[in-house]
Amino acid sequence: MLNISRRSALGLLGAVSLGQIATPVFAQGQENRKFIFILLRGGMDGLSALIPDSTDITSARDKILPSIDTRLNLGNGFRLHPSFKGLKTLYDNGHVSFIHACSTSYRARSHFEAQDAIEILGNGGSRKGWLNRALTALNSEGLAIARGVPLAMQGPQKVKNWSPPLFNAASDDLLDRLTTLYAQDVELMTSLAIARKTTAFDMPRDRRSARRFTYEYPIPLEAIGQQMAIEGGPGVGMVALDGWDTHSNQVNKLNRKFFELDKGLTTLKQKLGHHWKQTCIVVCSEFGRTVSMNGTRGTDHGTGGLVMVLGGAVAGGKMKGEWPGLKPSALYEGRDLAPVNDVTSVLKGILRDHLGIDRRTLDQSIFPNSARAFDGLIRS
Amino acid sequence: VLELHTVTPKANYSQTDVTEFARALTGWTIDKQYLRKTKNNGKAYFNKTWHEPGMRTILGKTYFPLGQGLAPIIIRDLCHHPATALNVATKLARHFCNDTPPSTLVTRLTKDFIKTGGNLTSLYIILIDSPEPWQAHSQKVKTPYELLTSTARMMGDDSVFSVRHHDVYEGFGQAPFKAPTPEGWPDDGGSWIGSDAILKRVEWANNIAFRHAANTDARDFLHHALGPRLTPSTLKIVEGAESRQQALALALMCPEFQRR
Repeated sequence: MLNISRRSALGLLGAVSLGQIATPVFAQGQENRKFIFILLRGGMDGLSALIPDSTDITSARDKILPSIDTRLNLGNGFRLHPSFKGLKTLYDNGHVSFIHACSTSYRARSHFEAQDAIEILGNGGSRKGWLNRALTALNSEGLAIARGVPLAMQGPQKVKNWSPPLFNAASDDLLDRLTTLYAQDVELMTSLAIARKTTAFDMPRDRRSARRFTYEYPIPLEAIGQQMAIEGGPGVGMVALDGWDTHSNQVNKLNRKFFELDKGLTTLKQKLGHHWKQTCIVVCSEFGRTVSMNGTRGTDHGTGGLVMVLGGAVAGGKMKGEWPGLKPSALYEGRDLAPVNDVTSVLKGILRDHLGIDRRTLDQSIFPNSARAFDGLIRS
Repeated sequence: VLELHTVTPKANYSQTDVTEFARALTGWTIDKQYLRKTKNNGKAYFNKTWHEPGMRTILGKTYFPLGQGLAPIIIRDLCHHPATALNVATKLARHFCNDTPPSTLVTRLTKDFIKTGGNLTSLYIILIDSPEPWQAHSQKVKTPYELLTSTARMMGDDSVFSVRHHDVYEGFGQAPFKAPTPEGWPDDGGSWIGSDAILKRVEWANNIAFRHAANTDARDFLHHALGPRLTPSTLKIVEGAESRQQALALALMCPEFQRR
C-alpha cells in the first residue's frame, strides 16, 4: 500500500527533476535514505568470499580455500570465508543479501575497461558515471571518499570528495591567513571554505592515517559513515577500495583483505548509528575470478562476481538471484562462474525501491537500454 | 572521433552517422605485436579483408566505396567541418585565456581555421597577436602538472617530489596515465581546485615550505616567479607571516602562483 502511493508520487517528481527544479525528489519518508556504493577494484574473488558447498569447487581450488569446518555456514548451501565474522552476524540479523554470479555486460578481462563499465553502466549512452546521473535525478549532492572523484560519480551534478592528507595537515592559522589571501579570488576562497567545513568533522588529519587509508579499510569506510551520519549530510556516497587482484598466493592476502573489509563494514554500520536502518550498501567488484586455481596459488580474471547488498533497509538473510552452479558445462568459456545475474538490474532495483527514483528516469536517463529492475532487495 | 576530436555534438550528427563512420573505419587496425619487431611495428594499417565495402553517407555527404582510401577522405572532411573549427578554436581559447573563453577571440580563431583549412600555425599567430590572452592578472588555475612544473623551475626538481611523484599527482587529482575518459584531462581550472584538491595543495605547500624555507626567501620567490603580476596585498600578507616557513607556504598558495 505504502509502496504504491510512494511510487505514483515519484512518477511526477521524477519528471520535474529533469527540469532542474531545486527541490529534492525524495518522496516522503525517503529523504533520510542513505545509499553507499563500495567498489572493490582489482576483481574480488567472490568464490573465496562466499563458498558454495560443492565438490566442483573443492576439486578446482582445494589448496586455496579455508577448510570447510572454519567457514561460516549460512545454512543454504553457501558458507562465508572465516574472516567475515561481522558480516555473518549481520546476515543472521537479516541485514545482508548475496547475489552470486553477477556481472556487468562487459565480457573481456581488462581491469580498466571493466571498471569503466561498472562505473558508467550507460550502454554506450554516456561516458560519465551512473551515480552522477542518479544524483542528478535526485537533485542531491554526493560524497566520494577518494583521491579525485571516481568515474561513477563524475558528471554535471556536484560531488564532494575527501581523502586523508598526503602530508601533515596545515595549521588553522595557515588556513586563516590563506582565507585572507583569497579575499579577491572568489573561486579559491569558496573551495577553501568548503574544504575547511568538510574537514571540521573529526576526520583523521595526519599522515599516518593516510597510510592506513591505503592499506587498511576502516579509515575510508569509517570516514564515509561519519560524514553521512551528520545532520543534513549527503544521502549518496561512494568508496573505492584497491588491491583485490590476487593472481598469486591469494590465501594470506584474502585472509587479511576480507578481515579489513569486514572490520570496515562493521565500523561503517557503527558510525551510521540510527541511520543504519535507512541504509543500503552495495559492495561489488568489476568482475569475479576464475573458478580454478592457477599455477601460483592465485586466480585470474573471471566473469561472474559476488555482489553484497547490506544495510538496515535491506530485505536480507537470503541468497538472491540465480545460481548457475560450477559443473564444468555450466562455466562461462569453460573457466568462469557464469554471469547469470546483472549488476545493472540490481542497482536499478535498489535506486527504485530504496531511493524512490521512478521507472521512467531509470530507463531513460540513468540506465538506458537496461534489463528490468531486480525486485525484492529492499524491505517494503 | 566525432564527439571529442572533430565536430562534437554541435554538428547534430545522428546515431546513423556514427554507425556509417564505424563501417567506413572497418579494416583499419593497429599492429598489436608492436613489442616484437614486425613489419608494421605498432603502426595503424589497413586490412582489406576486414573492411565492410559499400556506399556511406555521413553528415549528409555520400561517399563512394573506396576501400582503404575512404576513411582518410571522411576524416579530412570532418576536419574541415565548421563545427570542428569551432571546437579547435574554443579549445585553444580556453587553454590560453580562461575557462569561459571570450567569444570575440573564439570567433576570430574559428574564421581563420575555416579560411586556412585548419592551419594551426596561423591560429597560434592570431593567439599571440590578440589582446585577450595577455590580461594582466592570471586567469586560469594551474593544473597539477603546471603547478608542480612551475614550482620545480623555481626551486629545483627534487624540491617538489620528495614523496613519490605518483602520490602527489594522485592527491591533486591527476594520477599519471589515468585520465578518466577518452576526452583526456579537463582543461578548465575549476576542475582542479575542488575542495579536497585545494587542501592537498595547502598541505603540499606546507611540506615544501618546511624543507626549503631555510634556503628560499618567500619574497625572492614571489618576485622571481611573478614579476609584475605580484600584487601588493599578496606581498603584504606573505611578509606578515609568523615564520619564514609559513611565508613560503603562503607564497606557493597565493592566487597569482596558483593561477597562470
